[in-house]
Amino acid sequence: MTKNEQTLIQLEGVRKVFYTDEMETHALADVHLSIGRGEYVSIEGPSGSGKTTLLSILGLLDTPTSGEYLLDGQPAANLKARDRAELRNRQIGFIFQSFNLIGDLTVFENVELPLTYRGLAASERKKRVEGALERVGMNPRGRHLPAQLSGGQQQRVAVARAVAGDPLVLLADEPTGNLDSKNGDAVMDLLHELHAGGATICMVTHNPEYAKQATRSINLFDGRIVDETHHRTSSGVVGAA
Amino acid sequence: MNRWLGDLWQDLRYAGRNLRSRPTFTALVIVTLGLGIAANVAIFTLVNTVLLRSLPVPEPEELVLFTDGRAEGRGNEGLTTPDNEGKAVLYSYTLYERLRDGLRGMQLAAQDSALVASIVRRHGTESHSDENSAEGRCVTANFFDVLGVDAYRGRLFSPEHERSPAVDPSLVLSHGYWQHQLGGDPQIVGTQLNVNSTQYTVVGVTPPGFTGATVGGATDFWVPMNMADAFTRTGSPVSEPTYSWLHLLGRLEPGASLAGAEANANVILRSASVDFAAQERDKSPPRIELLPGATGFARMRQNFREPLLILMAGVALLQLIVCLNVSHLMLARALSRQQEMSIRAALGATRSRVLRQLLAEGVLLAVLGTAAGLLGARWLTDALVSLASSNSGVQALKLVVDTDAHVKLFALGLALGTALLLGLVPAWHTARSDLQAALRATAQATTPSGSRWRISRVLLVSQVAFSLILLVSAGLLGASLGNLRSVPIGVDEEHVLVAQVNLEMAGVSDERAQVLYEDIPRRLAGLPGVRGASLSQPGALNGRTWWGITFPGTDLPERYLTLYLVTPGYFDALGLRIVRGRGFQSSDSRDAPRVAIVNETMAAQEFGGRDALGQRIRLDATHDVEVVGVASDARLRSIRRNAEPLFFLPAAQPHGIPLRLPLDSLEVRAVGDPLQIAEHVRRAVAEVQSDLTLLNVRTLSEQVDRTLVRERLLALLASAFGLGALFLVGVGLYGVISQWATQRTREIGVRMALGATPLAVQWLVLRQALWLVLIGLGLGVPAAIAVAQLLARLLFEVTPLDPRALAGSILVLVTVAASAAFLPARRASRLDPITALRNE
Repeated sequence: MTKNEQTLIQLEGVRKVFYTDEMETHALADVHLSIGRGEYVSIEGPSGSGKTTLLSILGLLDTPTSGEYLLDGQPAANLKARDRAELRNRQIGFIFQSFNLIGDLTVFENVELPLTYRGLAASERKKRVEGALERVGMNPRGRHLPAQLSGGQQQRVAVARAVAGDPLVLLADEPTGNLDSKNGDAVMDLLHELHAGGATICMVTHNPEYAKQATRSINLFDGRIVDETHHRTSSGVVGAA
Repeated sequence: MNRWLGDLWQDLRYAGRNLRSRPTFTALVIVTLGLGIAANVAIFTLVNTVLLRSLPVPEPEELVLFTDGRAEGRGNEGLTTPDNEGKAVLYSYTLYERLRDGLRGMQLAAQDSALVASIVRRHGTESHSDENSAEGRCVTANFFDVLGVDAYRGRLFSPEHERSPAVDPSLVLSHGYWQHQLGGDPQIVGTQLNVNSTQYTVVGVTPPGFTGATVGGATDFWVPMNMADAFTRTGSPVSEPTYSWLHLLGRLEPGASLAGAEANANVILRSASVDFAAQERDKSPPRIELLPGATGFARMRQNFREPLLILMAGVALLQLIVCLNVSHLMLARALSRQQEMSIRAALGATRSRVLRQLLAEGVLLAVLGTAAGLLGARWLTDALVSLASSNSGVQALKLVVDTDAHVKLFALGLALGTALLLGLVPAWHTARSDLQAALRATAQATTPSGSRWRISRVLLVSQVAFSLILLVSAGLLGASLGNLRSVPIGVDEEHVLVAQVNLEMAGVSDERAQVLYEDIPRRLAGLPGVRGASLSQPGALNGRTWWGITFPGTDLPERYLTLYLVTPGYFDALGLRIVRGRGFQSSDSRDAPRVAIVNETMAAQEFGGRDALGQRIRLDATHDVEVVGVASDARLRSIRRNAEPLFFLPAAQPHGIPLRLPLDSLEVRAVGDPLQIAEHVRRAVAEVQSDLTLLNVRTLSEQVDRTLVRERLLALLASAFGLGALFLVGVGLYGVISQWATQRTREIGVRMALGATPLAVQWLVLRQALWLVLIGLGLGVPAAIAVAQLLARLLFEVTPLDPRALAGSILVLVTVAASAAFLPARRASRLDPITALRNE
């Protein structure tokens, strides 16, 4: 991280334990992680290593069993569900592996949904949705239903939905996992463009090539960060830990 | 506020689109809800009309009804007589006058029991006229003033209409009769109408919606007290102090209390008893009880109160089952949308926002279901009214139903309650669900949570328990109806034709009537295919006449017993046997020694152990009659009652009862099918006198059926509710077991791979269904037994614990459950283990 990058996400000693009748499972164990504003971080690791749990905690869909989580300098580990929902809506954009567009809503309405929850006026929503769809090249498809789109197009709509609210951070969970290589590359190009435009991105991926496109890669194993690699980026910063 | 409304609109819009995109689900829910709501609104409309609705008059809460404060089950009491219009009793005009003049803080009015009359309107010439029958009442001149009703056209009655001899007989028409029967003639005021052969002048029309002070008997016209003799044709009812024929209705003046008025009324009653009713001295003194009269008199209230409340409870239970069933469907929908809700949550929707979305769908479905239900309710209400209104008498019940504020509020409450119930279960489930599902690509394929399966089971077990209650109730009521219908009534039910002859409407005089009593039966008896014919008052299973009799020369107490005035052929015409002595003969004429025939029960019970034959009965001071015969027992008054003591008097002899009792009930016994001779009978009567017609021509068997309208209504609706519940349980169980089997496809595949036979797999699935049904039955049996106790008073020769009803209901439920579960069980047993094992 360069000195001029401000810390956006800060995890300190975060643990997540799942309890069942017979045993407890440590999904995350003593995770320390800082992500700077404008950083592009990829998270790698084998199945069961805690990637999705980490992303859930970062995305405020779950809370850590212990430890500290600061989002933009504010404690976010133990917020009430309602406050987490509000933060999620304003500061986090999700991109899912299976796109997760709502089938009954049009492309426009899907992108509009988080803005609706934010309570923006209709005119403001329209402006932002059109802007977001423009950025991903899907503006002409606003009235289509998700089922009428290809997988690549659906993921572009999902990216538009994630960025429409100008979140602090984009969380992408295997965004190319359900796409062929051509469409996968197109989505990665889109993320790259967003990052170049200043977006902070945190992406879970199994694909080492895509991971290298991030400025930093984090490797998880058994719920711990076991490796961290800085990649050469357009800003020219390189490093390894 | 704008944002809130905007969100609400958006929720509803999404909900609407969502429902549109699943037309089968939406239609299923709307139809199910619609049926439940239609049944609820229809039954409530009846409840409202009969039990709750206030009369359409100003300040109805000030009205009071004069009822009897003593225990029920008494006979005739002279000054006051129990009546079938609720708890109301009949009062004499003399007592009315005393109460009217003596009561402080209350205006008092009176009306008589309704009479059916023939109304003829002539148009210029004698050859052109309209005739139809109408229900009229004789009322005191202040009747409309006390009710606070103003004339819609013309004027209403004034004090000169009270007792002074009528120079120009007047009548007031109801708005409904004026509109429907007289075409809303704008010149109606001042028009002459012929009512039962007496000319009346129409002086006014009541406002729209006003149908009198009696629920279940919409009055078409009113005549004032100065026409009482001519209208009621019972001699001089106004001047007879112990002839009770009026219902009293009061209006409390501001500041007056009900208790004070009641005490005041009882002081007046006691004084009147001493002055006019010496025969009352040995009896329990009468006591007036004043009751709130906002809902008016109700002919139906006494008979239908309990059945209606039971039906209301039954239909509410059905609605609960409907809601449970639909909740189950909604839950399945919520499950299939779990991923969508997780996405919404991930995008920043709060839980409350997600719940609101689900509730919006519940509300929308409830609104659509309610709309469908309200449409259905109109039709269903008409059908129920028609069913409830068909009774055995000439005077059919007229139930004027109206969708008033009570019904609207009920429908609204029902819709809101339904919406809440529909949204609640899926909302509760969603509130407990995992928001991170959106991050799992395979979320939709995962096995539903245990909590969801638990909710499904709870919903289904509840449905089974509630359905058992409805089925057992339907079984008991059905058995009761069956018992009533199969009870032998003691007459030749299959071959007897009954009818009413329009003697009163035709204005037949007493002298002419005596001639007709001989001519009509004789003429009919001569028809081919007729075994016997008679006239009587009252007819079989068509009302009651009773009178106080004593037994001269004995110390036996006075008894109030049912009596029948009959022509000599009566016993043959009904198939009654004369078991001892003789029947009536043509020689039992006006001047011959007076005679009576008693039934077996009276012969056995009423003569202190002496032989009934030759005993004397005293009807009044000058009319002793001798018992000359004993007739076989029959349930002539009601098939619900065991044979009761009753006696018969010949029509030709004076009976000494100061009432006009025309023998207008006709009985004709046919050799074969009685309906085959109906037309011949009708023509023959017209041949005796051309203006005589027959009304309500039907077989005695049909007459019996018509006396069971209450039981039939109950049994029919309870059965419909039970079948509805059964169907819903079947559908619900099919859904739950299908889902259970689908969720366990892999497990079933493993079992089959390990050697389970198709039969074993079927049993595995069926066992789940039967287990749920057994738990439901375990909860339902005690509940059904408890509910059956509430029905006890309505049952005839069936105990609430009737094992057939209980066992039959359980058997039906288990059969339906097994059938519903069989399809998914068979499907599961035909799984290909390899495919199933791949399914994860």
